[in-house]
This record gives sequence, structure tokens and C-alpha cells, in this order.
Amino acid sequence: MQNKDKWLKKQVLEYEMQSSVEGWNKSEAWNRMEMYLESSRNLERAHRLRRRLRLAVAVIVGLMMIGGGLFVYMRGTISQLNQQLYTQNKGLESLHQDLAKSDQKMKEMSAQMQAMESQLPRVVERVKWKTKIKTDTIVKLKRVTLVDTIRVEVPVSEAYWAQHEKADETHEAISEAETKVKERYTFELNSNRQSDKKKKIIIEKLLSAQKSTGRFTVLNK
Amino acid sequence: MLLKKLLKQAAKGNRLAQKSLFDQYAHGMMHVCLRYMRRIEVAEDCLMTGFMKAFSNLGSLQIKKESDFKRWLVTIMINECLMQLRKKEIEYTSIEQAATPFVKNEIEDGLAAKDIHKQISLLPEGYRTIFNLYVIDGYSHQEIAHKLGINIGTSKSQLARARKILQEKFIDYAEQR
Repeated sequence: MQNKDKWLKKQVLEYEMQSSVEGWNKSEAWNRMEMYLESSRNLERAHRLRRRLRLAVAVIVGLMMIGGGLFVYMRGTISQLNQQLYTQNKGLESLHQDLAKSDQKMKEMSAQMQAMESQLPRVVERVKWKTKIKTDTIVKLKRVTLVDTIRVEVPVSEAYWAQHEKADETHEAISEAETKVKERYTFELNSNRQSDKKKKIIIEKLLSAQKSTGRFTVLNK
Repeated sequence: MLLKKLLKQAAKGNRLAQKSLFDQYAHGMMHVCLRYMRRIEVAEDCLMTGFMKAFSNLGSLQIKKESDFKRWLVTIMINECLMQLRKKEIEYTSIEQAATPFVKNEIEDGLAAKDIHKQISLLPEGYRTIFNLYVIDGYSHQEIAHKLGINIGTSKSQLARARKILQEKFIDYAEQR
């Protein structure tokens, strides 16, 4: 069977490749074929053009969308930034006002300080012991008829000190300040005009007071 | 190699090269189409479509010798014919297979290739298609079944029937002569 098939196949294929088809005009067929090819080419061109057109439209639409998106985004961002700037500006304004207020306060305080400083008794006014000092510790001094001066240096806060700038309040100021600052106070006796005897008495009294209270130091000059 | 140059030019759309290829292979391919399609107009349609497809796919074609190109072209033509036949929805019915001896030697000797070709083309459509695919174009029953969407058994039985009819035709033809 296979040999027969092979023989038949050979016969048919040889015939097909060697002979022409009867009743069929190859030239006319080619003319038709050429027309088909031409129309196919035109169709392909049209397809290509359409594809390009679609691509161009897609690109344009895409670009427009991206541009629109960017525009909206930028607008939103700018608006947000604007809002932030506005808020910051408000904050700055408020801060500025606060600063101005605090500046004002500082100025006031400074003026106050200056005023206080000018009045501040770093070197306390001359104290007339006779009339001014009242507490037990200083009472002993009181008996001494001092007409001389005692310089008192008290390292308490100036503001506080300012409140008690008057010499007759010195002791009160000292006792109050002591509880706050817990430092010793220095009493400086300046009694150049006193006689040695009197000086000696005063110093002795002061030393005695110093010893008993431990609250101040007596410096003899 | 001349054919390769010709194919390259034809792939680029050179009309002269395309015409040259058409001139060279048109008759052979027309015969192939006529083996499957009895009417010359339909065969020509298949031929045209086949050549159009061949021209548009030449760019991707890799061939070593001329017979490769011819085989490729024949395959395109056969596929076109089968596509046309599929549109007609031919019914391939399974027939009881009979061991049919092919034509006798003495009959074979008296037959011209042209007559064989003619007798094949006169076979009923279904038989003709399977006979052509199996005997002439060398497809297996499995491939035929796959291409036509039928059972292998149907392909075999149709082939047997085609053989039987052909044998009868050859005998008649020989007797007439």
C-alpha cells in the first residue's frame, strides 16, 4: 500500500510542478493579485495611519491628563503653601506682638531695675543704731550710743532689698532675707570718728552679738 | 542564492520580486489548490490568499534550500483550502473500514499523471480532502484529525473509501481506453 501511495504521490507532485493549469490564465491572476496586494498595502497604510493617529491621540490625552494633574497638584500645593505661609505669618505676627509685649515688659523691668539700682543701697545708708535696730541681738548695740555709721552689706535679692531700702527696716529685711538666702550678712563697722575706747566697746559688743547669733561678721577697719 | 535574494526583495514589498515568485510557483500551487477545491475560481481565491499571506510572512521565513520554500508555500495553500472547506462545513462520516487494495499494476501503467490528478479532483469533497492530505501531502491520520476536527477513525475510514472510489474510477477509465 505504501509503495502505491508513494508512486501516486510522485505522479501527482511531478505533474503539479511540471504542467500548467488548463483554462487558467496566470497573467490575469497576477493582475488580480497585484490589485489585491495594492489594496492590501493601502489598507495596511490606512491601519498604520489609524494606529499612529490613535497613538498620537492617546499621547495627547495622556499629556493633557498629566498636565491637568500637575496643574491641580501644583495649585493644591501652592494653595496649601499659601495657607501655611498665612498661618505662619499670623503666628509670626502674634510672636512679634508677644515679643513687643515682652520687650515692653523688659523695658519696663529694665527701667524699674535701673530705678531700683539707682536706689539700691549696696552701701546701706548710714544707720543710726540708736533709733534703728530693735531685735534682741542688736539691742545690745542699741545701748551703745553710737552716732557713727555702720555699713551693712546684705547679699539678698535686689528687688527684695529695694522694698526694704530704708535703714530702719534693715533688721527686718535681714531676718527675712536670711530665711531665703541663708547666707551670712556682713556688718562693717566704720567708726573712724569714734574714740578707740568706744570703738573697742562697739567691736566687743558686735563680736559678742556675732558669737551669740552667728549671723554676721564684724570687720574692724 | 537567487531565491534568497528574491525572497528578501519580495519581503520588502518589491513588486517585481513578488511577480517573479508568483510566476515561478503559481501553476504548481494552483494545482495544489485544485486538488482540494474543485472549482477553479475558489481554487484561485485560495491561491491569492495563500500568496498574500506568504508575501506578508516572508520576512520571518528561514530557508536553506528551494524545496523548503516550496514545502512552506504548499502548506500555506493547503491550510487556505482547508479553511475554505471548513467554511462549507463538510460532514465527515465514519464509514466501516474495508481493506481496499489499490489499483492494479497494469492499470497504473496505463494511467497518465494528468488523469490521476483529474480522477483525484473528481472525488467527493470529504474523501478528496483526506486522500490529498494523507497520500499526496503526507499528513498522518492524527494530524488530519486535528486539522479537520474529526476522529482518527473517521479519517481512516474516509481514506479507505476514497481509495475504493479511486480504484473503481481508474478501472472504468482504463476500460474506456
